[in-house]
Amino acid sequence: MAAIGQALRLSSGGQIDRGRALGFTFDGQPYQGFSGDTLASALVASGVRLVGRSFKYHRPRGILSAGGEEPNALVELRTGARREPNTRATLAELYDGLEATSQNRWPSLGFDVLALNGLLAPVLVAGFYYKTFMWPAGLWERLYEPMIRRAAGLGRAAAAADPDHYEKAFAFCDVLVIGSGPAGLAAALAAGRAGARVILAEEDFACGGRLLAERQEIDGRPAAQWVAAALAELGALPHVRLMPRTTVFGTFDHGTYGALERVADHLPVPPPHTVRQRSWRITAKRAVLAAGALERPLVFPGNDRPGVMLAGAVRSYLNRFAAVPGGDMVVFTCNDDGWRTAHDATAAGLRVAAVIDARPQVAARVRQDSVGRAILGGRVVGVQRGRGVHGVTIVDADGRRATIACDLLAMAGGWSPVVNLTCHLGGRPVWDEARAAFLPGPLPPGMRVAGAAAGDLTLARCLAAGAAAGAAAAEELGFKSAAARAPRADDEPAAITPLWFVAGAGKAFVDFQNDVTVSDVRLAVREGFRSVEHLKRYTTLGMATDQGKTANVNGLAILAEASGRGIAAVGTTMFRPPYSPVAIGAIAGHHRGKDFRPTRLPPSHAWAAERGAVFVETGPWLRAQWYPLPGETDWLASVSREVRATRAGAGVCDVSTLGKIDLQGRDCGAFLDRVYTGMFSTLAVGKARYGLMLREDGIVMDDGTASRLAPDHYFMTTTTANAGKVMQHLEFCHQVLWPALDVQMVSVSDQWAQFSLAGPRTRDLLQKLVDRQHDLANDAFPFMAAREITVLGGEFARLFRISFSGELAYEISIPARHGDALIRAIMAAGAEFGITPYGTEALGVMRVEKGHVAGNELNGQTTARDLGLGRMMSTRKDYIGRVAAARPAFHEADRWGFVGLRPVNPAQRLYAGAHFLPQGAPATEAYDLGYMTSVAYSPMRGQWIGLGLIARGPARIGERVIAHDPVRSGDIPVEVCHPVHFDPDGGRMHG
Amino acid sequence: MAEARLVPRTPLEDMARPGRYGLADGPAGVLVQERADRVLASVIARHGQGGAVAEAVRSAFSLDLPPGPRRIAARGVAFTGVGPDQWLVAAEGDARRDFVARLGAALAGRAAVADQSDGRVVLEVSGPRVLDALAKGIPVDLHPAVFTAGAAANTLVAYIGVQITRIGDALVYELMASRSLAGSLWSWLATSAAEHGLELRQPRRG
Repeated sequence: MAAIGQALRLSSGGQIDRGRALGFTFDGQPYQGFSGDTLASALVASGVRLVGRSFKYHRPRGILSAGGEEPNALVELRTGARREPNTRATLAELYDGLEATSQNRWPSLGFDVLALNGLLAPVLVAGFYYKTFMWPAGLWERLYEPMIRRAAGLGRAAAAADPDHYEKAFAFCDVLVIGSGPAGLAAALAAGRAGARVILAEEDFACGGRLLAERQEIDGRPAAQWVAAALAELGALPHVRLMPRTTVFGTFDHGTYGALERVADHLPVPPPHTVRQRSWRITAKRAVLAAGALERPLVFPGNDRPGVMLAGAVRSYLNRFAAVPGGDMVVFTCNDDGWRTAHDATAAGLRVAAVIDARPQVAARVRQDSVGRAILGGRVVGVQRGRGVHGVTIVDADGRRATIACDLLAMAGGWSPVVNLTCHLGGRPVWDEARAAFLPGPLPPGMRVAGAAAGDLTLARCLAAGAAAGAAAAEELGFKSAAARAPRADDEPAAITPLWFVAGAGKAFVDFQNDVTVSDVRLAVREGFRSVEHLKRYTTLGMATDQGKTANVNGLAILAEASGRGIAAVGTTMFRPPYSPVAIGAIAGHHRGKDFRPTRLPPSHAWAAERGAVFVETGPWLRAQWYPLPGETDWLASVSREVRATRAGAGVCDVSTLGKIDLQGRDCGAFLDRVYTGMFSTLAVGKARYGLMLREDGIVMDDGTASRLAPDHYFMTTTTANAGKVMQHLEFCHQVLWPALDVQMVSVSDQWAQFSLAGPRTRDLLQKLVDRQHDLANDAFPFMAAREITVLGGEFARLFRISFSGELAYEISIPARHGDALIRAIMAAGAEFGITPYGTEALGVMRVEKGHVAGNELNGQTTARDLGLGRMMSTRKDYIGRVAAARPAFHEADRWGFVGLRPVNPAQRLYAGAHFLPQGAPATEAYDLGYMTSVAYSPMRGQWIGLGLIARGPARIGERVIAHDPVRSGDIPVEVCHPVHFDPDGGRMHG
Repeated sequence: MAEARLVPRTPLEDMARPGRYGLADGPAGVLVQERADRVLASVIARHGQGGAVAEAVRSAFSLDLPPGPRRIAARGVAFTGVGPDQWLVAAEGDARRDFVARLGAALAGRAAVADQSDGRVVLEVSGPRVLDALAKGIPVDLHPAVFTAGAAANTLVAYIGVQITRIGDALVYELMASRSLAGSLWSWLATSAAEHGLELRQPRRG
């Protein structure tokens, strides 16, 4: 297909590079543009009028604006995994090979079947979903919602994962200047010259703001030259950072701002190692908001037709892009600024058929060297259209109707300051009657507003206010600003008499993106929605991707009129971040996939990976779950083998993930007595003890061990899951409750690699590793011994004789750098004893076999007594949770207590989560006796076994109940038993 | 008694091989070297003994402990303030010898000393684009005039607790995190420096 030429491109002027032609496609048709174009300006230059279909009525829509406020010209950019819906063509920087597709139309943009929705308009009014589809309710999900979703909507997201990378970054500055129009540049120059660290953020790819779009002069030369000089000066200041393509989207606490930098959106594919977008958190001591103003459409019948454009946007296309949006123009305005468009269009060689100003009188200065017909006190009441605008129907001051032929209607409804960022911390904008605009209300700390964003809509005032704001911000921070002359410029005429809407036949659109019309707003008022917030929710005015940037003020004014109030009384909806859409990818940044959150790896990880271990995420850790041998395909076979081998000979498991805390100081014993239920001040040096911590409310918080290494030196372990929580708790206890105690604690969790060695041959194994002078005989190193030793010829280590498996077992700690070598040494030394590495599953099986409680039982609802650990609650001292644990409710006879469970039919499998019911009772909550907390297949018993919490607990031992699991197993009769399923005397552990 | 000595592993060596990462052309913008050659210890003053610790450090190591989060170093020993009356101490070179024991002896009765040499991954980061790369995770103002030589901060990078220290007048920074998080810290750093090109040097071992 041949590329369509740029028939509507001026032969000279504009900020485009005619030497760099760029090819692109729109709906598959090839076109050409130039470097410096946006997609929108290239479409304008190519004569493309129709760019999309509207949200609800599928009305044909054209380009309305030339900036980020665009409600109509939303396209899908790129294809495949990079397809990006709802991209504003006015903000999309043209690149060679750009592919854009119109959206929300079927089968084609020119012929859209759903445009018939326009005929259904009487039912598609405000709040139509709430009214039309109420009955029968059952049809909502099956019929109405899918139907509405197909009919209404914007673009399609890509189905594949986003192949690009995004990142977050932090920046700091003295003065953040938001916007690089005249006020922003002047502010940045003033602050930068004073020596302040300045960041100048600009949404556009080119700095200059409206100066790029206007034929104005500064200091006697074209504004564009002044912009270039200002940028060159700023670029040469080492402490000034220019950030084009960066939208500051939110104001947050303590002088922080969120910003989105479109790093590679202007390229077909990001270059290698380059992110697509970067989200910034900018911390600024001061900020100057110079975000400018957005022009309002006029609201009249047919105002949404392709060929009806904002007057300021017409100037942007002519002056900045040398693109001609039409040859025969009518201007409809209610303010002086609209006349500028007529002047600029005439200068560019367009024919201006008429300027229709709703005001009866206009200053002579504004009308000078007038252009075309001037119709004062007139209105546009209709638009003649075919494939574009053919002409407009007007009513003049005397009420006479006439038709004026034209192919472009420029509308100028006045300018609304972009106050959004002043509102994000709760400041409400204030209505200014004289300027017909909401101006910033109370400002966030450290922020100033300058230029059009503050309501100063004219050039000289923008320059002066910007320079003053930049200088004042710098001076407040102690910088001395040189008294520089403000750049010279004129203030253009800017008088306005707002015209909020023009009555007439046909739809007059207030919100283009959401298809909200004047009659929708009036209907909402008639139905009682008088609050501006209700109006927004009911009509959807101001919602969706543009958040009503061109719609809000007109909507409020119409609400004010319809409800007989002033705009100040109606107020405005509040602006919240983000100012414009931010991709989730940019917010996630680096944190995708395996980097979603950090992963902790224990010291044996590389070794386990070499052995083909299967890993499992346990909290932040990645741990070996089991170690399949070649040929093993069933996890249960691997786990059962690991259990059998451990209980028969020796097993080893990396338990470095346990929380480890080093406690030193004279009062450590007293401190531990207060945080544990048991007594630790009497623990002998060289011994370990199992400990239980309660919360203040008497519920069990965590369990672990503490060993006494020296009279004033203890070493505590916590569960893997609660390591951080316990450290926090202990710090709180020390810093807040008992600051006078001489206790110093520090986490040493990562300092030590720790391996559990379990099984009857582990003493033999250890004797091969531990240096000869350390006697490991049962009486020399008994159960619960804890000592510093040396291994492998003098390497420092710690050895603890503690058991979670019920076997003769040890935990050996070594500085983590040796963890990898130690596990290899253990495997080598243990070969003759059948050493078998086991993972978290086998660990769990052995603890269920031994009836030890773990996370499933320490569930935040159980007391020590519930868990059968009442004997660990010392009666000889006070400790956290003691008083609350004595509450009568915790001692009621039918409280759920800890027991073991076995299926009556040993062939049946148990499932954790099954609830217990009396035999023959209905499966209702009234009969619920408790539930199965943990299960395991016990290779030692050859059957499934369980642990659980059941009403009356151990008093039920010997009873049969039903384990009710309607999802998986159905009803299984189980017998309540003692929780210790294997080696109930504990003889193996002490051997 | 086993025949072979234990071969130590640095926290990063199973996560990343020395070499060039990211942008391959031109000189690397970011240089990274793992420092596994330092002895590290945490020092916490005993109740009310902060002044006594400063006194003991002055006489044993000729260092005047500055208040706040700053690092001060001399003759291979560096103290970095990490909290009220708390320091992380590093020793390198000849100062390593029996350092934790010597430190413990010097501060006996005044502070708790715990060996942390194996508990941390320590990355020394430098290069012409170091600040651009660090800005992608460090939520601290690292401007050379603000984060001056010896400045330190405990902060959060990519959800990883990190101590960052500027260890001299040059723009050389030390990132210290829990050993078990070395892989995740590296993943963030390598990703963040990719556009500038990163060179991971051979680790310095003790």
